[in-house]
Amino acid sequence: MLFHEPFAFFLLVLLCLLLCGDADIRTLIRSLWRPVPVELYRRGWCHLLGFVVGGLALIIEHGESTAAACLSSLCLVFLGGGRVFNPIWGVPAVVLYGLFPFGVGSLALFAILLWGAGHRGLSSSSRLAVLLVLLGLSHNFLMQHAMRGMAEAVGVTALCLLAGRWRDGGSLLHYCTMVRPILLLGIVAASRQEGLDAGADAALFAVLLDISSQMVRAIWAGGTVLGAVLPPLPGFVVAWVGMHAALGMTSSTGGWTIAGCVLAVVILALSLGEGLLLIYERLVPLEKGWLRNGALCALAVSMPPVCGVLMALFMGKGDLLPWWAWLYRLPGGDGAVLELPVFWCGLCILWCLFSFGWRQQDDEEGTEVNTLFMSQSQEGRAGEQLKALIYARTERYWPVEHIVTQVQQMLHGVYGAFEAFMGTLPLREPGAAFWLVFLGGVLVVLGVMQ
Amino acid sequence: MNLLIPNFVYGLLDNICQLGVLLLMVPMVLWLKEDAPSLFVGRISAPLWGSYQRFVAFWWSVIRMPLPRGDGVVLALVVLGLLTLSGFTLLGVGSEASFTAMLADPLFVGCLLLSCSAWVFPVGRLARYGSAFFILCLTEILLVLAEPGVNGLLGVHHLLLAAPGSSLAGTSICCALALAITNPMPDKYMVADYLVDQHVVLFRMRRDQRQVIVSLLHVGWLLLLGDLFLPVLVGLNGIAGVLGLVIRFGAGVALALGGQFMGRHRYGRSMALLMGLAALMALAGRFAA
Repeated sequence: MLFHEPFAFFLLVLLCLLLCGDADIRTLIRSLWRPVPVELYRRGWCHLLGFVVGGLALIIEHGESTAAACLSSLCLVFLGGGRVFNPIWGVPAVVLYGLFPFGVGSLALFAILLWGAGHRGLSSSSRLAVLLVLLGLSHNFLMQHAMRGMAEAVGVTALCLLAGRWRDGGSLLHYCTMVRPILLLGIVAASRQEGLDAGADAALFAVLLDISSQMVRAIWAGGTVLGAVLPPLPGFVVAWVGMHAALGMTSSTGGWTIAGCVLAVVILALSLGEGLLLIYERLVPLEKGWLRNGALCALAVSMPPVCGVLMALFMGKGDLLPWWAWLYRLPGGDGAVLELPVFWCGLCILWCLFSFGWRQQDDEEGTEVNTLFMSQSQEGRAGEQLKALIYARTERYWPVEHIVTQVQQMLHGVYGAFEAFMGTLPLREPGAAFWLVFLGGVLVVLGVMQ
Repeated sequence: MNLLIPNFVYGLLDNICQLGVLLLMVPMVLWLKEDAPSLFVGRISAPLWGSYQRFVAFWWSVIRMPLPRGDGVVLALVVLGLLTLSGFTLLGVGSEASFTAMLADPLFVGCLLLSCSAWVFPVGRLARYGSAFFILCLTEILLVLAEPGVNGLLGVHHLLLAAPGSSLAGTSICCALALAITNPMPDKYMVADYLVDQHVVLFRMRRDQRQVIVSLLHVGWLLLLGDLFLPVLVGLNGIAGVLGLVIRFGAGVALALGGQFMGRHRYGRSMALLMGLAALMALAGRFAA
């Protein structure tokens, strides 16, 4: 695989960033000079161990699949603090993965990791760590059997939801965020198998943007907005590019015509579900605070171009496009292009124009004219205005009315005649007949045009 | 590289001219949409001039007293959305389209308008927003399905010029009709009640400003409908472009008013029928090609 090594390296880097930003590990570090509760201390150690073991699994994965599987299950045990992963039925799954890494074993891997990650007790950063490990491990398998891998991921998720995870609304959101990168990676593999370079590029871009925005959200709770499906934000870009990558397969290959459409709808639906649940949980779009808003804006503007440049590096075509090309075009994979950073530029200019004019804004004080303390002359002027309003001519004669009434009467007559005519026809449901005739007419027009 | 700077300046000038034309046209469209229908049932309507006066007063108030942050973002997004959807070039720099017209993707602009509207009026319209989002997604997917490699509304325009009478036009018209039936934008009076009852905005001036922003959202939605209904008229140059804009606005207003008079809430099921029809046309065009 061309980009496997850099991709795994990217996953490792993200894991390290998560390790640095995880709240529990920050608590652990703080415990060096300040006492913390024992529970938090223990959880911090668990998280630290889990992250390290997960990173080891990612490093080892290339050679030894069995060891990688063992390490990943260990990672789950640590990340959940021993309450998430049930090793009794995990052991045969790990053995299966070790024996048949490309057969039944992959299904077992999906089952272990997805079941564990949907657990309510897991924090969002440890869930993302599990997702990173899952992506790194299933990557080889997805590259070879794209269709089967995607179907397995969706099936296992559906089973997990059916088996009781649907009860808390939050786990639906977690599954939305976990299944989407797997599907996108599957699209990368499928487009590469079909020989569609643009589609593979776009899908990989979407994967990178998705994972990195999830990482930002896991580290910093204020960045939750970034994942919403609101247009200029990265969450929307992921959905849009993923959809167009799927549609690229639809339009260029014969076998994926319907499956690509279904995939596009599924990706959009996952994004919408995630966005809705985000809004439902805690989304405060524009709080006050210059630092927070500025950081959000900077992240939202810079993340797509950075991910684009990284994608070009991973695909080995860094010298094909200059880096500043990402500042004015985001290719969708099937010929569609979005000029998002230019849009951001226009948005910032207009916003500054509307919200920060040359005068200070004062929302806190009342801006209305206080009628109690008007001066005498002002009152007199107001009275004159009132008088003018009272004596103003409100009636106005429009000759249009007569015409309109006549036309209405005529239309009523025509409608009555039409009803009488329809009454004579042997029809029980005129509505259905109308739609049938309409459909037939459209088909006739289509036939004439072709 | 030496053509980059002049092109950029021309594009900027072009966008400013577009904005001027749009701002001249918006009060008229608002009058047609909100006040003119009362003429047809035989009542007196507010004069057209009043609409212009209100609009000028709004911009004057924005200049005098800058908007709060959230309102400012929404207004900027709506103005950008209108610029994107207008999609004509006034100065005619070669055959290139203007900056913003390249962004005219139905899903992108539709989501923009929907999210602005959800921010302004967030209560109890989840089903409507959801169905509108769903139809926008299907619109995008079906357009790509009908003609592989189509890039937004401008792409539809170019493909229709290259091959007139293709199934792309039928797909787009069906999607426009379905969108006109959904109509997720909140009513003016509902917004007013919400602002007063919930004490969201305390000051009269801010409430008035927010009303105007909502009406701008309505205009954006009308223009989206018109664009999808007559995609041939999207990317024209010069005076023809302005005429095309007028005709598209007219088509959007006609669709919205038609839906209003026919009682569109009764026709929820025909939405599914229209989308099915669009899918049929897209597939027919795809397999005929």
